Amino acid sequence: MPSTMLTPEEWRCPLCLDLLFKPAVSSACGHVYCFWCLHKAMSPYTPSACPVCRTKYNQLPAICAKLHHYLATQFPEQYAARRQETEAEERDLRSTTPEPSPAPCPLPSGPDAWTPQHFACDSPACGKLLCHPLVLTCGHVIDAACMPRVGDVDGADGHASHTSECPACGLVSQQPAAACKQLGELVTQLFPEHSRQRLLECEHDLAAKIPGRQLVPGPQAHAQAGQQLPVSNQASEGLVGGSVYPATPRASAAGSAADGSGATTGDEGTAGDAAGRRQQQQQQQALSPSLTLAFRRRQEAGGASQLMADRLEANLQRLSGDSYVHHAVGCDGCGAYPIQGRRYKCQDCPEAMGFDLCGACMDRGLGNVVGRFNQRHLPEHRMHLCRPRVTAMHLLQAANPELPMEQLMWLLELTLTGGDEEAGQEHEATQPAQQQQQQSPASGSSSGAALNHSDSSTDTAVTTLRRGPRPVYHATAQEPSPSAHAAAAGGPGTAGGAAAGAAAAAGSDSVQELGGEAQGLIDDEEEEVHVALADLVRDS
Amino acid sequence: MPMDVGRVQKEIRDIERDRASGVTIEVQGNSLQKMIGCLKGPSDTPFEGGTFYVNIELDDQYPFVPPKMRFITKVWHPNISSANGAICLDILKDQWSPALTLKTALLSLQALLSSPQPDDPQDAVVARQYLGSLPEYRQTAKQWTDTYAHTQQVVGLEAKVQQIVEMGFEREQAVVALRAAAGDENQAMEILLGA
Ligand SMILES: [Zn+2]
Ligand SMILES: [Zn+2]
Ligand SMILES: [Zn+2]
Ligand SMILES: [Zn+2]
Ligand SMILES: [Zn+2]
Ligand SMILES: [Zn+2]
Repeated sequence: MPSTMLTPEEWRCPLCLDLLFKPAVSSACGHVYCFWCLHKAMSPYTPSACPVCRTKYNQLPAICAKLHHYLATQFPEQYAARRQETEAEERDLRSTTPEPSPAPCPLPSGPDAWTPQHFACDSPACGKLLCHPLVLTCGHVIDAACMPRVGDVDGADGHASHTSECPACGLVSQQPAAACKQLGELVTQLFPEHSRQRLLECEHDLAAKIPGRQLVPGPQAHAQAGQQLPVSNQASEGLVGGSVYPATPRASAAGSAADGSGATTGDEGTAGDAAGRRQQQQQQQALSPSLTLAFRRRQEAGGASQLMADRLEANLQRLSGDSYVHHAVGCDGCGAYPIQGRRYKCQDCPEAMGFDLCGACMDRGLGNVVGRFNQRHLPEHRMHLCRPRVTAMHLLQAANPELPMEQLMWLLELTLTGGDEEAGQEHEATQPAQQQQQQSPASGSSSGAALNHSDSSTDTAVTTLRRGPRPVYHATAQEPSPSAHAAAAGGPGTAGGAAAGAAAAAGSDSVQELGGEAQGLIDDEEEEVHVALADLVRDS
Repeated sequence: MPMDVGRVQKEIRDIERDRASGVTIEVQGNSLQKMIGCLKGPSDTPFEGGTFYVNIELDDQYPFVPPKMRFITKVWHPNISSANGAICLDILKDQWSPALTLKTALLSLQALLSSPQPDDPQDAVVARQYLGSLPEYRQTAKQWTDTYAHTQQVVGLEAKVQQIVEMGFEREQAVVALRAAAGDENQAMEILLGA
């Protein structure tokens, strides 16, 4: 039977357009990518959008062993070639990815010799041929019907939410998983008759489960028996997510439930939670005085900027608390990226990439963990709680809380690169000799200009930022002016938007941080308040 | 992160194989960072019959950042700068996704020619005309298509670019000057020497 799912064309990665290598599945929508491709496509600042369907997701999935073994056996030469390419790239990146665990039953010796055991549900209670397979963040593949469900937590919309706790390993996905269509189709094509039977069985199981029955309540739901909301691990993780990105449409019912019950959850958390919370308060206390001082000085300097300073301070306080986002740092336990709230960094893992855990994974207590990038973490390793550190992106966020993240990222990029091509086009036509803006920041035309008009009030700079919906594109195309870099460096335009200048200054550091993470060189001595804030004060 | 050369090569091969798509692409030099895309003006629009060239530049970060695209051929359209060819299209800015390709981007430009978005203009003058007096807009757009986008005029663009490059100018300068001169290499040279 000339079956399409048995040909490599059907298994092309939408990003590198090549055969998938070490496939990872965006669990919330089921789209498949190479692990590295998906990692590169993620946003270091916010939940990411699936490149194909734009479904938001906030965990970097682990490699799906089942798909890996299928591709490696079905397309041996091409897969080996892909391995060579990828491993060469990994050497350049000085990082590797884990080898997926061996298949539970011996793989066929060649292509097209598959049996249903090779496509069995990973749930220990099931082990039957996959049906509506969900590939979870941990890489396990579970039938939709085999996922544990909790009862109707929301009540309001009458939707039952199911946790995405993996029945095989217990890892909690922050979002409900969606079926992986490609894998589902493959299974149906390989075993049409068997699949039909399984479909009937699963439909039956699902029908029996849906009416709000609490089959496998989350661990905390036990402790809180009698409370209106069964708060699972997922819900408390959702809480963290929900509080910082209120504008993000979160499909997860658990997320919205957690928003409503935030206070209760916090007070009644486990001992681990409480300890974490204390540490976190300490962090905040450590952060606040210097922030306050910085802003008091700013205010003493007086002038029209006080309103903006107040606002910045309020927003920075918010950004540096529970909801602080550790830009460009991911959790090696659950894949959360970027980590939000508490972040722990291993002092003993030797790998260049470093090893980090989010608060939830730290509290859960993990044994030997192989990190997302093959770090061999051991239970006796010392974990160090990292203090929040304010970067350019945090400043931009604080100054422009109403701008969507895409635009902030766009702004940051423009601030850092000193403008994109459009901004320079008018110049190109008239001054062909002019070099790249980055090389001559003082004379370069810049989209940072939008951040940094020649008015001398900081308010103006921020207003320019807020003008939306797309403040930058048009303003800069017609109106090149000294770049934010120049301002930060004390060049022409320093008088203009100090905040923007500060953001740019901090930005270059945050870029270092990004680069550092890519090479695993994040410095441990994180400053409480970034240099940029000092600049902000001094410039006034 | 170095550019994903493999992916760009696959994209180009894919465009070459898919003749029916109506868009083509021509690589400039050896680096795969600069190319010129070409698309036909959609029928039943003032751009019908025109051939439009688009300058394409790929960043090292491509495909994780959008390709930089700009019309070389002069176009009269609310979302395209009549002065410098800059394009206002969300997928070339913050709505870019790495799952999009040069082909899908060029096809999106073709679609943009068919359906202008005057609420989010690149060229305020054209947008005002589009909203105020549609027949006048159509007439001007057609005139521009006839003047600047007729195949004879841009035929052999690459040869003309080469000719200018051989005289010691940068490729980018040559392309810009040729665009400004609607493909007339003598006028392009005048522009370059006068600058
Ligand atoms: Zn890939
Ligand atoms: Zn998707
Ligand atoms: Zn199952
Ligand atoms: Zn699992
Ligand atoms: Zn985690
Ligand atoms: Zn460790």
